[in-house]
Amino acid sequence: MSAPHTSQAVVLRTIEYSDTSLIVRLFTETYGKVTVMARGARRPKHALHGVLSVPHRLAVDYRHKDGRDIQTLVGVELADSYAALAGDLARSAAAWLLVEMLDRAVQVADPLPLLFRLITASLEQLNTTSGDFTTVVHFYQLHLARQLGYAPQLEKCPRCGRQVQTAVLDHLGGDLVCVRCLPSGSLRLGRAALSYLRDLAATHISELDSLHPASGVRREVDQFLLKYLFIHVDGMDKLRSLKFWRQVRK
Amino acid sequence: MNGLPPSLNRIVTELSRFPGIGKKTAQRLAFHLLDTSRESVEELAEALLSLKANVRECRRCHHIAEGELCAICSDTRRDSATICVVERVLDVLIFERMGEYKGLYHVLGGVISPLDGITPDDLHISDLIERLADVKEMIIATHPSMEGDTTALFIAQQVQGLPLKITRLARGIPMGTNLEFTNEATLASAFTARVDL
Repeated sequence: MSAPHTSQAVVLRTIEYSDTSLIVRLFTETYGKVTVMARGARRPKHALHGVLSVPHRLAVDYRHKDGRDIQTLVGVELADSYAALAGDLARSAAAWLLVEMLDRAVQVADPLPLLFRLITASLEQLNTTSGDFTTVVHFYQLHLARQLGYAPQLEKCPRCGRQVQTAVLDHLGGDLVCVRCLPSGSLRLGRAALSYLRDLAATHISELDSLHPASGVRREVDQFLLKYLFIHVDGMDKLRSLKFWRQVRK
Repeated sequence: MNGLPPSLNRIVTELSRFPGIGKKTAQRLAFHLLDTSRESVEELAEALLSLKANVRECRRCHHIAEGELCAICSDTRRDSATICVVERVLDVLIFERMGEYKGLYHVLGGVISPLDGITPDDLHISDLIERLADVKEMIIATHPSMEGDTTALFIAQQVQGLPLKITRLARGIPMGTNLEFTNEATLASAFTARVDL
């Protein structure tokens, strides 16, 4: 028996299945990551033509059958196309990166409504902010790690319990520890970078424009967050969109 | 084991590798070949071999050619001050069918697709830039998708400062369609790109 499922969703990936159909990977608010078949969606005059695109936010309606890897899409309404992203190269590169990170971080059919809020709020902020949008990417990466249960300790060293002034990433344990506990560590975060990370942890996404990290701090945090996610999340070190993101930022 | 002789099975397997050809269609084609005269089959085989031996990529625009340059690049009557940038060879054929365009083309060989790991380095973008010295207008005709838009923006950014007009194909409601049946994405796109009367 198949059951009707309805949810808000973000398009993570589309794969051309035939001349007329698409396989679409969605991150739904209610059911987590789901793959659906959209029959006829590639026909030029089909109602779904152009709607099923990364990273559109949709209201979806699909038939779910237990044991099936691919469900059947029944209906879609476009909630937000994040139209401004298409007009800005760096922002669209950031959107690709955010979406791919989510796709690699979450498992199939594992509902994570807080992560859904994180991705939609981050895409919305990328789409609308007039400020430095790399803070949105950093905010997203830090909170993604937190939601997955890998929040870095930004105040006290998890080894000795002392207040952290300069932190070092322990590549083996994956923790952020104080420099006294790991003097040989290569990836260091200075006071300003730690302070920026604390601000990112405490600031609401709509207030990110108030953060103005220096370019050196941005670079330190950039390197740290990516490495941190590489260590903790399986497959994150294989991000395909990272190369383009880096190329565009140059 | 389907009871077919090995030679017939072999041709069915080969034909079913073609896009849009399933096992059944491949079998139908194979039986059609069996019924066809030997001369016709030899002609077909020769045409296939000649295709692989003679058809290559145009050195200038990456369209298909039988020599160094394709028929369009070799045609001196074409307007060499206009270049239309397309994703694939098939797109050139679509524009040529339209019959309105008399300029040259440049085939990128795909679009930037970060999720597939396709970056600008994988496309014919650097040699497009080399061709722009005497060009007055570059029409970017990538498909209206996030990937197509990203590619268009990237190219536009790379040629910033060059004295040429850069245009992008208009997008919106197809001819003969009722607004009622237009989806939200297309309507939003048409609305954003609305024109003065």
